[in-house]
Amino acid sequence: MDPSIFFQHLLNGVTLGSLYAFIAVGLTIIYGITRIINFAHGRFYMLGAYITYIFLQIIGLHYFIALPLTILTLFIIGYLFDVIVLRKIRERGYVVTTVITLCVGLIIGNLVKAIWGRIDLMMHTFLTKSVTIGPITTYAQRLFSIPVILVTFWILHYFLFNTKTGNAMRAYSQNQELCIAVGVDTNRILTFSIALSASLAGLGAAVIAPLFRIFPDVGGLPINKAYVIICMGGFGNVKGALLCAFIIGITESVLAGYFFPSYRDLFGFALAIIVFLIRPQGIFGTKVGFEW
Amino acid sequence: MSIDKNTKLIVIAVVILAVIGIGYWALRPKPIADDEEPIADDVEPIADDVGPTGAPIKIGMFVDTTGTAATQGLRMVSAARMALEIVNEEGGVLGRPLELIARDTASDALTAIAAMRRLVEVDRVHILNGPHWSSCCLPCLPVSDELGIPWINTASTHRKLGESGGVGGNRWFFHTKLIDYWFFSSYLDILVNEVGAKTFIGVFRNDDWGHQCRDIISDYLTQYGGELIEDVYFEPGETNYMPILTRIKDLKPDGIIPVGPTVDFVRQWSELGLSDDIPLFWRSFTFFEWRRLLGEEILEGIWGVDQYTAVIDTSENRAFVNEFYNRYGVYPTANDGLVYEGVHLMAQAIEEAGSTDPDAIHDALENIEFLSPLTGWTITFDEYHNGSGLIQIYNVQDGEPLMLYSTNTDEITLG
Amino acid sequence: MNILSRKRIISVSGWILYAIIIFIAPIFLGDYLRHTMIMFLFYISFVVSYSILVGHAGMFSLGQQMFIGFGAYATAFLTTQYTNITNILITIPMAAIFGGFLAYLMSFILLKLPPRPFSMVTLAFNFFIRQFWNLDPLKFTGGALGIKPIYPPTIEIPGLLYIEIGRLGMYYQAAIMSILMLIFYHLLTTSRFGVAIRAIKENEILAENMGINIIWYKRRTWIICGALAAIAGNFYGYYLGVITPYVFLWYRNTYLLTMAYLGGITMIEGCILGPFIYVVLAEFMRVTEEFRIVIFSAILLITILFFPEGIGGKVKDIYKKIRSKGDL
Repeated sequence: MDPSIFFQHLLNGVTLGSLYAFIAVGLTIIYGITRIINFAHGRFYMLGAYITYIFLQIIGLHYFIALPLTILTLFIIGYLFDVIVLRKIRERGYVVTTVITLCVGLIIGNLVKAIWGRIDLMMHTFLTKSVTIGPITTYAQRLFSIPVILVTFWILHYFLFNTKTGNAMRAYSQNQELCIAVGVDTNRILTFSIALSASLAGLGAAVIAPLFRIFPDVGGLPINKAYVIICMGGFGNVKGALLCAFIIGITESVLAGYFFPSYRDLFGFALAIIVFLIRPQGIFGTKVGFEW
Repeated sequence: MSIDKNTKLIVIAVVILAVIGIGYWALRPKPIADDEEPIADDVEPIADDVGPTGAPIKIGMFVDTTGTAATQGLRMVSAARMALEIVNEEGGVLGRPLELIARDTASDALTAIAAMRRLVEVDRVHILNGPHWSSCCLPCLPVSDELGIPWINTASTHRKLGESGGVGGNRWFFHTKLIDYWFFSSYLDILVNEVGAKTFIGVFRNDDWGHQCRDIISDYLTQYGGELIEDVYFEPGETNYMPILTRIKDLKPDGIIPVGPTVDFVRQWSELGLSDDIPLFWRSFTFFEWRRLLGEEILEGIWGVDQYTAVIDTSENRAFVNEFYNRYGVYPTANDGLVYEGVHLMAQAIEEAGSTDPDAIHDALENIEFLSPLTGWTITFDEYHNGSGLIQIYNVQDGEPLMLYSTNTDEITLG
Repeated sequence: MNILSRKRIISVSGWILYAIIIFIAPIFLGDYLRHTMIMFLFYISFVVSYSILVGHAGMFSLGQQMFIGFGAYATAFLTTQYTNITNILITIPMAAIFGGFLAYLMSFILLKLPPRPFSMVTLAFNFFIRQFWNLDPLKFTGGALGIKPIYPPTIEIPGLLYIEIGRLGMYYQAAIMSILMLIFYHLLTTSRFGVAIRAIKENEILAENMGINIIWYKRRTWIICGALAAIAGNFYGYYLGVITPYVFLWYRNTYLLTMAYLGGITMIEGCILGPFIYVVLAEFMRVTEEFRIVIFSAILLITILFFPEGIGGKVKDIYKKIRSKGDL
């Protein structure tokens, strides 16, 4: 077995897992706080990709400036999304929220398609060049995602456990009434969580979208996997989403690379089904709240 | 509120009936006499500087303008409109202006049938073009027999379509897009015998086009002494080909035959360093688009084959490609070029028919010799109403797309 | 309630009127509107199965339309690949059995899942069925190229009857199918079974405590709805004359969701009203076709926010308000 091939498969899996992670963690945070599965979440990724493109290639900023700007813009978009859409439907049942977020996602996606749909775009950052590290030849951008993932989720962990807002978020997801009784500003927390999730998706886009072509349905296939991932990891569980994202990403890339490449999507899904059969609430799932 | 509940019921009933009535009135089949002024053959054609006048001759186009294939569909409509403008600038057809009515098929067979029927029965078009997906095209074949209007398909590739028109049973169906056995019969011969590649891995889109190509490639390779060592499928819309390409890097074939992947495939192929070792033999050649997105260096050495490409070097094609790019920001693909040709072909057929009578147009099409403004090739239809076409094989050398081989359907005997 | 109460008379005569309109319509309509009506009737059949599943049992499936594909393929297998059976008295039950059987297989995973994963997994199933059907590793699906032709349906009772159903006949086939579906819907939802599944939807824990065997009812509902949608798929296959794996493309789900919720997901009138409004809107929407999905999504959004019981439900609400005000 050729080690360079194995490491390449592994790296592919890590990239894929990062993509899933950026989307799934945001999705699971939104669920943990609002109990809503946001079917429009893939659009945050898509918007992140387009916005990064605008900053990078239309306005002409340097990549390391475009990146935080994208995060900021997605933060604002997430904020708007909460204020305009989610706040109105928080109290509604599962079906209503699903259908509404689905519709909003479709509307956003198709508006973008109507404006930009006819032209494919490709992003070039200073990192989309081949480098050779040991046995692997790959784009530096792909390797870049590794430190970004580590740093981002370390910061997220720190935030959730060591800051007032983070603790409030976790507390709120576990026991809403108590939080309100204690005087926590729930609206602020809710809106902040959603904006945070959107920024995560935007960060993911800024890091990973340059590796691929940009088109209005970008993020469509990964988001479908992300839904299954958050179920598998346990709803509202950030650790679970993160872990399962990488498990699925790496399993898919490695197994498909070595055995049945045409059935790539099936491997991750089969794994998820096995988890469901053994433990329907997901690996780290509990009945209450979200946790790290 | 003091309105009697019976009155309310009556009001609601009236409203519903009114809606049905209005709907029926808006959609009722219109009698022919309303909007057509048949022009006798001995009427003087109108002078050119006045422009074409008279009741327009309508082309009905039913393609995807929503859904997953919306991008291609919208581009095809754009290409058709460009062709229309040129025909009208040159005096129209039979002195009358051409008009295009486009309806959406939404990638759904039922909607495609509805669009086709609406174009013919309500919009009263004289000739049809479309659709794109074979899944929409096949169910429309029996419908076309009922509708009795000539129909030229320029985009679908299912092999049954090659046996459907003319003596195949569907009288009105004409087909100008070449089915893939035409391409691979010569392409693979050259790749195996002249380029010297023997083992191939095919990367196919998981739909009817991809699978059909896989079968065709497998047959021809066996014939020519090559081998398809593996066939790999990807889902439509997929952009991450890294597992596939890494596997290919491991298996080390002499070449890769991609059928349908997006431009990401080229980029990732280059990223993995395969560009020096394992050449790409594409089934299509959208060089300008690739260059616009990726730059030239990555594309060095890539092969491609197609019936129409934007790189065809005639003055008309260069003008068309430039105009298309200026208007829409993208370069035309094979389907766009074929639609553009198709509109001109329809115009010529109607001219030669001398009227908009469907049978006359049908006969004109069967006997037509149409010189394509873009490729310089003369299209004729066989007894199954398949249009003849070019097969051109390209290779990128020194950053330029070179046409290394050119043949056509008249020269090839399919084995 | 008196068997001849005003409400019942209005209701029954409304249905009879509906049936009459459906049956005499082809005389007045051109071929194009006949096709539109056939689409309408086909959508009714599908919405019936969706309404039972989601509206009554609360099993929010996002992949119900894959059963249309199963039914169409079952029909295709019978009429082309193995034997040439076009008799709908055989193919319709076979399609129902095929759809029901696949539903049964899926139920082993699906019924273990809580509601949210349930929806995700139905969505995922739809995706994988399509992938699998195209790849056809076991060589039975007909592959990506699909199956063509599917010969026109016939009605045969050996020795007694032989009818070939032509293009006009298919209209009546669709009409009868949709009416039978609606009758079945009514019978099912007003039976003990229907009451039980609505109880499950309302409050699963309470229903269980009252002795309702949740899994038993859910499994049967899922299988029945799968079979119903497969019957609709049988017609779909005949009408198109060809079937390809494109039938499993999931995104079309939005339109089906829209027409299901527009009419009212819990009521029989909704099964007609939803497709009717959808078809009418689709006709008039030709002008802005590029934004069709946007407009329908917006419509679905507004419907579900302000008319959770659909337009049909709103009309009923208004009617009730009028009646109660009249009584005061």
